[in-house]
Amino acid sequence: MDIQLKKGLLEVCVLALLKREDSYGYKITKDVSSCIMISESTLYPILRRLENSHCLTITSKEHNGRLRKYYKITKEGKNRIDEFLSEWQQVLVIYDFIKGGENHDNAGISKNINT
Amino acid sequence: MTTQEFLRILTREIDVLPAFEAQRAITYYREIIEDRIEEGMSEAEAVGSMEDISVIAQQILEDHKGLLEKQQKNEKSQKQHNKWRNALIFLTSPLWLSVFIAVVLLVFSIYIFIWSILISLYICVVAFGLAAFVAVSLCLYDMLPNASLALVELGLSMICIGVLLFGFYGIRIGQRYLFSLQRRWKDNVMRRWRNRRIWQ
Repeated sequence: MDIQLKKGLLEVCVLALLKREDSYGYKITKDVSSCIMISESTLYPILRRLENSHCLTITSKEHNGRLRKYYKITKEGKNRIDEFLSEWQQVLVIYDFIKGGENHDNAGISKNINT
Repeated sequence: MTTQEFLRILTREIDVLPAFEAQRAITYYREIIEDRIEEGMSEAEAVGSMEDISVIAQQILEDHKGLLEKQQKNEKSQKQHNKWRNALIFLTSPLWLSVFIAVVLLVFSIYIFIWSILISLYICVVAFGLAAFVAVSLCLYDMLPNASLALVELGLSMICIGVLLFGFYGIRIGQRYLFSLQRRWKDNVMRRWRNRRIWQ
């Protein structure tokens, strides 16, 4: 998959996960990896970008005698998910356009073979 | 490799970053390793299953590229600014240096003046002490031949002793106040100088 495309998708995936429940770094990596492969080093800059764009907030909570950072989605984060979902139809249109071009090419090749 | 070793090497790899950003990254990876250990891995397994430190460091530095470039730009402009400032200071030194010396000498002379007043007061008080001693001696000498004169001399010696005691303690209070002012001024100057060096 294209890196830039993957980056954009990963950000929304992380937000979608946090929309269900607050989570922490390691769990986010594991949960998102069930859909799209992500490593901890890839997740870190994503979380930073999302925090800088106010899509999530970070709180520290005590867990088994140590502090663990939990990430929580904000209103801007939820808006970002809605924007992505609303733009998806447009992506499908572009997908069909590209696929239609592919079908036209394949039809052309078959015609040449037959003739 | 232990968690501490892993994090120490990672810290070294990203030490070009501002301290806050580096600490944030280290805390993130520490938590990842601790969460893996909590899941049942041993420390060695948890650290071993992490990506290569150089890959992680590269990812972090890449992410902070804009910040590092801005920092380098600021350092460069600060160096340039310092060069111009130093050149300006050197070129205008005939002007400000003489004024500076004059101000320093003025402050110093005021300081000497205040201390000389204190010393003079001490000398006065000591003089009153000597006068009290002389008056008491005369009082003892004149007690039998001239009792009324001895009484006057005794009174005068009491006055001189009073001036000696009250004067001495009053000057001591003034001296202590002066010392504390001096110490506060010195601490203030040292603190400002240290802060200036830190911010540079």
